[in-house]
Amino acid sequence: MTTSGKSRLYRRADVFLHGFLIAAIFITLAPFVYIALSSFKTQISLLMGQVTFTPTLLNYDEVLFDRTSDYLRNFTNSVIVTTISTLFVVTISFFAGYSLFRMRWPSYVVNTFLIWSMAFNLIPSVTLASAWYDLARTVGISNDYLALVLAHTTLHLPIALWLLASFFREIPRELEDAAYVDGAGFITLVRRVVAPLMAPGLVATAILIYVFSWNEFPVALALTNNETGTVPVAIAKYAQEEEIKYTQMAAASVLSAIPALIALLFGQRFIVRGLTAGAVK
Amino acid sequence: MKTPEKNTIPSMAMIGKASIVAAMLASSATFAASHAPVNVVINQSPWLEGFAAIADLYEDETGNEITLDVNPYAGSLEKQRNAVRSEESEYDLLIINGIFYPEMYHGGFLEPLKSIDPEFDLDSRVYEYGGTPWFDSESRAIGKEDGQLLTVPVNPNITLLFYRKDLYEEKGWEAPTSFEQLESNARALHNPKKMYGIAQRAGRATVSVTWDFFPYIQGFGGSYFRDSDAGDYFVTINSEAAREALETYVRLASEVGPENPANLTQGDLIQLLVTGKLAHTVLPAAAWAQMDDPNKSAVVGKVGYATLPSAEGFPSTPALGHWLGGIPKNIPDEKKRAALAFLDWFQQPETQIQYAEMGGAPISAAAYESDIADRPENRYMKAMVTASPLAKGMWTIPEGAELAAITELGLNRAVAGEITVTEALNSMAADLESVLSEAGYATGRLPDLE
Amino acid sequence: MPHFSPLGKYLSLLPALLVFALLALLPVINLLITSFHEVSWQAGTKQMEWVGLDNYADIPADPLFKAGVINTAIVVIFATSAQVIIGLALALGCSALGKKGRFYRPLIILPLLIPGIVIGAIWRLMYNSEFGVFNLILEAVGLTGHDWLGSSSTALASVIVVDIWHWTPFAFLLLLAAVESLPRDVSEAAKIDGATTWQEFRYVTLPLLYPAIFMTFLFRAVMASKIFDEVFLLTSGGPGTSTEVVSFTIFQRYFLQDNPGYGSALSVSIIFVVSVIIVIALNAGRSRELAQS
Repeated sequence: MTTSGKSRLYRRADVFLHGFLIAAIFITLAPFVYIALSSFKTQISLLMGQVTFTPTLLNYDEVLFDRTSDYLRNFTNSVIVTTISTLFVVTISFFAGYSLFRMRWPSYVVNTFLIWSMAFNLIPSVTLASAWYDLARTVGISNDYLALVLAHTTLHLPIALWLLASFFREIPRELEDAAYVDGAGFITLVRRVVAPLMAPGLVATAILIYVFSWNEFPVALALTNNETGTVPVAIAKYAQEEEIKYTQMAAASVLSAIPALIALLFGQRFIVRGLTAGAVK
Repeated sequence: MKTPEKNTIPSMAMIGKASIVAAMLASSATFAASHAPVNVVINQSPWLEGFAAIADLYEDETGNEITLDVNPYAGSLEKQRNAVRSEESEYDLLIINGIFYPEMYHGGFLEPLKSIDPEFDLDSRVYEYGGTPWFDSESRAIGKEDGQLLTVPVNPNITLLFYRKDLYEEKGWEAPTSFEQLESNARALHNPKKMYGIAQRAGRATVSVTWDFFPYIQGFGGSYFRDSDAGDYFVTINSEAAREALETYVRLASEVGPENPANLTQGDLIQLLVTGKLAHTVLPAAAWAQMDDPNKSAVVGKVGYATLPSAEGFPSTPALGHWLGGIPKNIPDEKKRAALAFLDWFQQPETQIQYAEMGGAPISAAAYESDIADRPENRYMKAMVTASPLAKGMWTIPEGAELAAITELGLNRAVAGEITVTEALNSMAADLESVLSEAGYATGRLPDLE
Repeated sequence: MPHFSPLGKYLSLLPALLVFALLALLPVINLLITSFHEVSWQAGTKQMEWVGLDNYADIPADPLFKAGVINTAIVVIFATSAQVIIGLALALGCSALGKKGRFYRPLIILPLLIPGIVIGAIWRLMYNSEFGVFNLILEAVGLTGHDWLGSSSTALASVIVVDIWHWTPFAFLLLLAAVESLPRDVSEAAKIDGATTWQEFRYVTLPLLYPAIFMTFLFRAVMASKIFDEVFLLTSGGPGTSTEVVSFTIFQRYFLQDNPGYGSALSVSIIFVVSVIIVIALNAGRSRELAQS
């Protein structure tokens, strides 16, 4: 096969792939565009299904500056809780995973751990929330960040452990052994060998855990008050007894997604590098 | 502060109260905070802004501190339940929904207001909302005669008939008082896709279609239970009157309403109304605020309000969806006194009139009968004067949610046409009876409809 | 060759163990105990009455639960399969384009960033039969609209569509990580052997991806069996019981009807049943791996 023939073939395949991905992006983005456009409409304009409309900033004004809204604080709270709990989850599950999957525990220990964490993941949040509320009140940390951080850590640790399990299993044992023969200590081994190999898994896990924690509602509702409430709790306030304030809700969602979107766009080189780092083997 | 001399004929008790308030106001001018700070749990709502404003006014006038912990509507029950069930409640004043106050009453979570201050009583101008502020923990019945005062109403939400006043004026009609009139007017205005005659909720939720159907069953002379206020839970949902009511409800839904009425929620009703596609609907009074807001409505100034219709010889019966302020048992005494002081200040006629002026939702006849109600933008208040004293609650037992789950499903299926009206009523009656008898109530039910 | 200290082995597991023991075990034990009791409140204090297995005995006759199990199974099977298939196609597509495909990745992940409660509210609006964008489009091209959430025949399918939209990015992300970690030399070798793209995919790439596909499927299935947010705002289980799902039934029984005893029994049963299914699935997956190696 000549080089030019190969590239022509690739190009035709590429066009097809681009077409497919663009179609997928369109379907993915359409509701998002709808949400974004809604955030610039008045409620009545949205309900009338108006296609052309005069954009208004009323919704953003209400979300950010209304006296019954405290969105910036909610946003800060979310950043704090989500960042810390994601760090906790990824760190704890990394070490636990390393221990469980690379350090020769009897298989019943590993399986008990895995099945238990999956079973825990199945418990409806309503039942957990009230139990954690009692616990937090007893220890005196209810309405503190700490309560929600710990709850989110517990809630998402099982998922992280499962996600990392499949990545840990794929690290070739010879690499570790080689490093050990070279006289590397535990820390060096983790830092130089295991962590880089695990990078795609860790990055994917961290992204997912961050997103889960950012959007978690029932437990955040039970464990916070107006001082510590997170973004979903704030957004839920727009679903009221007599009306759903769609446009304000849309504005709040856009504001909540923008930073994450920017992070994804600018950080994507890092994410992609993270996701592909494992390809070295 | 405006003096309310022309609307109020204060009773002796009230004069006493008023002077206490006056004394409090006077003292606050010189001394700061005479009470501990009060932490109020409340949910986000269209009336929150008004309530926050009146709380600010209280702080300004008395120097006492009020903080509002504002929660999503969907979370208000959970937050309050968690608080009253813990060692010490983090909230000093609970703003309790008309749906879950029975749980608070029966569970014994609220401090009777007179045991905080024996002198305290509900102001005579405050609406009694079917006797729901009082509860007798022995007989487990609500009502003023035998009950202890547990709460003070804080929001007057009840159902009203919302109708297109402009179309009525064109036709030269008056607001309908009978179901017959309502139906014929709805038929006359029904013009599918452009304008629906009437829409009411039939969607399943916690308490949705059950609440909307309540004025119908009552208005035709029937009831869900024989006398639930007095604690008599003999099931009467399968009476002839109930059948007539449900047939009317289903007929209106299927013949002069939007297609597929079985998934309609309150949000949908409001959407249809504000976009000018609906001639009549039944909504909680609080929804009036959206009707005249040009950012939310295409029918500004065109919606009229009236109490619910009823059949000849039976009273109109709006359904209660009000909110009550209660003080939990598991807080220190000084907190209880502080919370009661705020409630007392709040219920006074002069506060209530100010509250109305600030765009709040008053609970006292003093406000509704004041000249504020004459302003065109406050026209809903006229309907409230008639409707408020007529309003009733559906049940007052903690099993309410279980009962509602049955009626929500049965009524929803009847409107959806999955089962006939008679089947729906008979099966609901059987299910209601079994839940009630399992929970230990003396119950029973009417013989099945044929 | 034990090239690690036993201390490190225990120490690195300890934090996870602590979290599970202190924060996860307590609520679960509480759940188990509650499931054998009837809980009520009198004079502000909790009354726990031992009822043995009564709560469990009530489960088979619960009409909501029955409908919930069936609908949840349908959601799990259809939504999860669709998510894995679409997610895999997107992951392979993005990966095949290499650097040129970078642009798509963050955009595909976007739906994950929206809280479930907003997704429910906004899709409800889009499905609305009077003002919804779907019907507006249908009517614009001359077709008649449909009440997607209001009629029993389409309500569940409409919920599934939302779930697919929301969670395909999850499958995409996991599968992309797996695809990107595939060893390149194998695919090069296949090319040199003259394999067509399809053959390469069918006999080289796909088998290598089986573990990841299996895990993604399992994950999504477990998460889909808890589907709640979407149903809560879209349909609340209606019309009739056509979109009733298990977690919604538990929410109703446990929380709204304040029947923690029965609600706990429901939770425990579900946890038990799904755990058994997972164990069976894992064993099947493992024996398959063994058979291949």
